[in-house]
Amino acid sequence: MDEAQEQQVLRLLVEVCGTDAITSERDVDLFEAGLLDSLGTTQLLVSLEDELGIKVPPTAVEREDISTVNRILTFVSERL
Amino acid sequence: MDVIERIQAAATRHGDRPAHTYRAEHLSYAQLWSASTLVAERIAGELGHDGSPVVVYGHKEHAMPVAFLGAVRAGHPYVPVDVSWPADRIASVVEESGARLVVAVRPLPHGVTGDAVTVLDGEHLARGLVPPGPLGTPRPVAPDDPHYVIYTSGSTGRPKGVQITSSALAHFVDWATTLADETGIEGTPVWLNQAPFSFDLSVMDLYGALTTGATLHSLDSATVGNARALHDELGRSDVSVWVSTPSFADLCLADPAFDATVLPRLRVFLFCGETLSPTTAGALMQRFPEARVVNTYGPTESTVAVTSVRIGPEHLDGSALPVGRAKPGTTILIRDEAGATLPAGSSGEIVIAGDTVSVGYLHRPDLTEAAFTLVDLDGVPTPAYRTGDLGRLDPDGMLFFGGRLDGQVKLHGYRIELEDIETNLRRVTGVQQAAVVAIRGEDGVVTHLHGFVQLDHVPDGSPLAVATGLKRGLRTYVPEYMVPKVLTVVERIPMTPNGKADRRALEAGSR
Repeated sequence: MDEAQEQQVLRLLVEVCGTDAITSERDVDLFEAGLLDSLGTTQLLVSLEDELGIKVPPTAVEREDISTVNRILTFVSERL
Repeated sequence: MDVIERIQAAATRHGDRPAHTYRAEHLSYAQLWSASTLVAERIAGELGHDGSPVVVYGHKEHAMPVAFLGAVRAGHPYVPVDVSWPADRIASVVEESGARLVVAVRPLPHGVTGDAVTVLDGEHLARGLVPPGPLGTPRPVAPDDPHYVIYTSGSTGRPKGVQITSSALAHFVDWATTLADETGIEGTPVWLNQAPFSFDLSVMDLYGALTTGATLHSLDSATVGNARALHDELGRSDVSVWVSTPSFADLCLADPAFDATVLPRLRVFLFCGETLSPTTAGALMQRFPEARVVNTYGPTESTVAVTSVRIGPEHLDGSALPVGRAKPGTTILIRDEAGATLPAGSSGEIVIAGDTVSVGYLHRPDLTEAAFTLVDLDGVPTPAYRTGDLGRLDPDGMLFFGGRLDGQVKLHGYRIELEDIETNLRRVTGVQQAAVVAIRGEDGVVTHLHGFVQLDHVPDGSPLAVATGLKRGLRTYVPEYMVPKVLTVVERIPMTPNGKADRRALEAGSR
């Protein structure tokens, strides 16, 4: 994943979570912090498909794989 | 026939049929009726015929509809309280309602009832097991008596109880069942229940199903939060009448496999509770070519919904969908600030008059007086409710919704007073001042809430850690849907010249 793609993912995450504070605290559990829920997860997956062409149905995602910003970045880079 | 008589008729005719499905288990109509008879006798023995409300606490268990019917058949309105509510809110509803009896289908949190309140263990009610105690002769609620009391967010931080009479409910159910009837479903219809019973959207599916001998399929909140479990459960449900908020349909639509092959018997989507977007409606029409998409509108104070329209391709071009035409027995008026009725095409406050308008807020004559009125319809004084919603009517009576007059917002179907959250945020330790704003997407629909707090000390920890701690504190006072997704600590909440929180300045700084 190049710098531009990482910035793109971070921008999508800021949109879904509603706050840019997440970009400086990348190991915070977003579900525990109340920033990501099932609706947010599906929004994120839809945006990833639209903008980066990564196709993952919500039924195929484990919560642990996408619980922090760093984990989401890994999740995305593995699928690019 | 009132709704209880209709349910009795369904139980007589279709005793073996499933009335309620929850976690893959069925409760038959015969079981529902006989178990609710025992509950009614027990409640009559405990409370007599004083008409005091009965709080029913739980989630989607079979015992919930059993307890609702039991209370009403004993002459007492029920107050549904969902397990997702924090203890503090449950305690305030038990107290405000003046309930003398709580039926606890799930174990009640400690300390939510005083000594004067009896708690009846309701866990095994559906199996006909009612805790021992005095029995009495049930006498069902009269048409003009409250059938249920549903609590909604109040601007002072105290929830208010909307009383819906048996006759208002019957008028609503008459109409709501026709919306499903018109679709010609073959076999026993299955209605989807998504909303908690404490949210009045559920009244549509609960009574739509039970008064017509159909099956109510209730989703557990844990299932709704898990995409795979939800997909599997919907696939097994055989739902033919879908009742949900538009947000829930969006959640399902994110699953590319959610279409008519999963729910081949689905014939109608009934939406209520928040704005339905053309995108959502269009996607459903495409994936479910045999199903109708119906938009409805109405506040809790006029019994769930009072207008409806079947969405067609011709509606999808505009930016906002219509919310429909008034049902029989309801008149929609658009009024200006002085209370004068405006002509078609003008924008003003939506006032709902007719046979499903609530008799007011329980034990709150002040609030009732402020929101309810009588309007003259062809010389007949008719009960009416001032919604605080903005809207306009087309010349042919089609209503369009245009937002709120005050600080009330709709988030995922839930009605929320921002001041209610602010009042409760100020109760959290360390919080001096608080303001909450609703953040909207490009289509004007609220996507989430953003809270700003001013603390009495310098916060210890990272911004997200501090926000998580504050959210934990707020959760002890309000349900999860009222906890702002984003909380930001600010040095000072900006104020307008007249001393109110400056929402515009806060919204501008919400990123």
